[in-house]
Amino acid sequence: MYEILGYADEWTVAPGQTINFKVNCEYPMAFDADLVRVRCGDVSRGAPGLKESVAIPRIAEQVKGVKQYTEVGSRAVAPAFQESHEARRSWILAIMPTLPQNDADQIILSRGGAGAGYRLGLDRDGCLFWEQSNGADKQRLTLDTAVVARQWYLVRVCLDRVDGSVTLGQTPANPLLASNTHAQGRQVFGAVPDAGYDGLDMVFGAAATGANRPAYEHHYNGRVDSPTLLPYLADDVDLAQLRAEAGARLYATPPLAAWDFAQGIDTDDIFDTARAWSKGRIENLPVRGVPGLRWDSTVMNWQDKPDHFAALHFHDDTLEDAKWETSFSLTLPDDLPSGLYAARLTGPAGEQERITFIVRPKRGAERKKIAFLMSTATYMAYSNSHYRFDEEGMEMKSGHFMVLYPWETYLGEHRELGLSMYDTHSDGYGVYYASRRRPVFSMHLQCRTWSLNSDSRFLDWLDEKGFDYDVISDDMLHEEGLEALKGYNVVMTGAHPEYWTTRMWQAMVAYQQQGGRLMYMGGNGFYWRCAYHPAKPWLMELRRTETGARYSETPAGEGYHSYTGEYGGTWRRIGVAPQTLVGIGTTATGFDASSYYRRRPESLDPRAAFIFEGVDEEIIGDFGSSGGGAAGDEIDRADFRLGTPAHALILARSEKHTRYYNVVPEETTYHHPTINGEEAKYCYADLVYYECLNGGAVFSTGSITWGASLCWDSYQNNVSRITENVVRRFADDAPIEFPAISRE
Amino acid sequence: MYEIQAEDAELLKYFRTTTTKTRPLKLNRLLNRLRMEPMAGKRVIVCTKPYSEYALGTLGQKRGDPIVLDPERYAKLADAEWAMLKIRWALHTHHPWPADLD
Repeated sequence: MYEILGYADEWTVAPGQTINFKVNCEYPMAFDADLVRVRCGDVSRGAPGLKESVAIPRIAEQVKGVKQYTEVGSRAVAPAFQESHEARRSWILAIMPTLPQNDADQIILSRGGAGAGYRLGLDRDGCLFWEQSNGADKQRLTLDTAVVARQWYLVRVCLDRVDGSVTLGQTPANPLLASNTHAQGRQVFGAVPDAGYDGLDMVFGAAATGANRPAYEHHYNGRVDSPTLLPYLADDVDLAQLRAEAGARLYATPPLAAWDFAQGIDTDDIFDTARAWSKGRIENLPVRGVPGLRWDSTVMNWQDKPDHFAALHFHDDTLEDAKWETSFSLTLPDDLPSGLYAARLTGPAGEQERITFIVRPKRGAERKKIAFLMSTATYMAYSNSHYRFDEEGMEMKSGHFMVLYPWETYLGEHRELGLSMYDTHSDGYGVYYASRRRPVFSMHLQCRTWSLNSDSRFLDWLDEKGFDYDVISDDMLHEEGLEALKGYNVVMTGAHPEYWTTRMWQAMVAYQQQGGRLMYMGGNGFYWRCAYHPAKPWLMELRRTETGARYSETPAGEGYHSYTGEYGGTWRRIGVAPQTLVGIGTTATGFDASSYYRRRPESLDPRAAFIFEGVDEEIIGDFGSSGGGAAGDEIDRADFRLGTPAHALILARSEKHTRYYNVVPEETTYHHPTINGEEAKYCYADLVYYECLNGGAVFSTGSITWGASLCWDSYQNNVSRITENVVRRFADDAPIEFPAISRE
Repeated sequence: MYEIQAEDAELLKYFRTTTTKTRPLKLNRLLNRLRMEPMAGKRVIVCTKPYSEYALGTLGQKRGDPIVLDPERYAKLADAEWAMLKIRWALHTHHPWPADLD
């Protein structure tokens, strides 16, 4: 599988726009491409199966398939500058290695490629070294004491052209925690770097190769703070200046270079404060807005004291943009209906790939009454997940021995395609950034029944029932705000709209205030706040602050997004629980088996009569292709303390969840044995309905697996009927009356 | 951490006849223990054809290493799970696999 693999440069496009497809072929071949409209991609047992129809045949023919190259690993690059014509100079800086022993050299700072240049780095044993080369001879000075992981060190490299010596030293910032790993070494090289290096780029976090593929090598895992080049031999007093904030440092002579990574944290720029107008750039997603050497726990927000956050954290496994060559392009016809589409690529031996994308309605075009909101922010978060490969708790969580599916084994063996926000970097730190400019498996069909593949079940059902609808996306909602929702009587979410930017959230609130109707068709929705890059909308950031169901902990001092400065975490902790938007919020997760709902007396309330028209059963959804029930995977419940409107009707509630369902951390302030589905008091999904002002309303299912029951028994079932009843009423222009408040 | 007892072997026969909805508590405890595996060199089930063919495999020692597959293929996931249960039992206990189970 995956002999052909590709991605589109955009996930959401409008008719008339051009979309570019970037395709990798494992071996030379020529492939053809059709444009297909996708109705469903879920091929799991009991699911509708793959359903698609050709919209435009042969949008590309006999495209030459090539193997594309992907460059991973983060770095910061600054243009060449003149170091010094002085006889002596020194680099001083602070470093915090996070994976000191990593089977290869890791370069912390460097100038030059394969030829002349110098490198400061860690060897495979975690020992600091200085290496310099004149192009012919390479010399290296290595300290004899390895650094301790996750501890800050002050580092000094003194270069003396007079006697040809290099002195290298490391001083732990906290000798107690770093096992007092002081070390110093001196070596006479005969010649030290001179002005011959002045034409070479300065690179932090890696070394340039001087070639194109790869352009960089020996990526460093760890942090760098305040690299400074002094025009003399630095001593301990100079080194101690790194502990002072940038503006208060006193040196005998002004530095030749003084990189202050605290400046422009919300940009891609890095600034050399020693030279006016001098700046470089970060590449491939080093982390910003994280504690540096001077962070003392007095502030948590990088905006309060940026100098405490003057670190860049580099990783060897990051990817911002695969930058694959465009294989072919397509300008969408002006009259192409909104929907989910794919470029279906077919190779000579039947190899196939579908590169999916969303065709939104044009700006200002007439809208349908129904909009299906594709959770593209959530697809970004899941992107290329490796946690089942890397996290040993997954078997216990799922309640099954691990079964790895083809898309997982492929990703596990192709780490160059980058990580998801559920993964950890190779140094164990959680992933904060995700990009859609690469093949993204959460956008794949015939894949895990999750993300886009899972949401395609709703499109299948809407088509089956004959509804006319537009498909819109989180990306569109974030970009346009309320404008993206205007004109729709009802907005229907997918199964798992988990990640929301502030702008998306505010737009949805405004839509509701204007009488918009919202169908929340999933579980664990509206859970985390995320942030989009202000200038690069293909990048998303996530800080999982404080609590929430998550696979890695965001350390202290890293809770504020670098892209926006906003506090990260669950919307509940931020102070706007999902119950205020959709009446329910996450209560538990479990992935072994699903369950059913039992109707409650509120379902007989005349206000809810339209919902249960044609539904006589007490039990709802005791069937489905995902775990055997409509209530499962991740489930939400009403909580009037957290904002469920007082007049909300809890129509039905799930029951009989298993021991492998556990309530989320924020639901239990302390742990005890009864937090599982068999014993917990609050481990269920609530089916909720309530009216909003100005004719609006909300219907929420509270379960990710609701959509997997829609097609059961040829779409003739009570989950399908309830959903259809709600869609028809919500799409109707007739206002929904806000109920009179009873004073009894 | 739970230490597997000799009498836990009696529970193994319920693995194929129960689901997570009906599994005895003691069997759940045993299975949780058998699932506590480090990722390096972990024995896993690999789906080799979507939803129709399975194999047992071994993860590599570090990220990105290929999975080494055993030669045998299983048409049913349940059979692969049974084979994995035997492997994990042997890995985690010195008690013999009950002779009357297969």
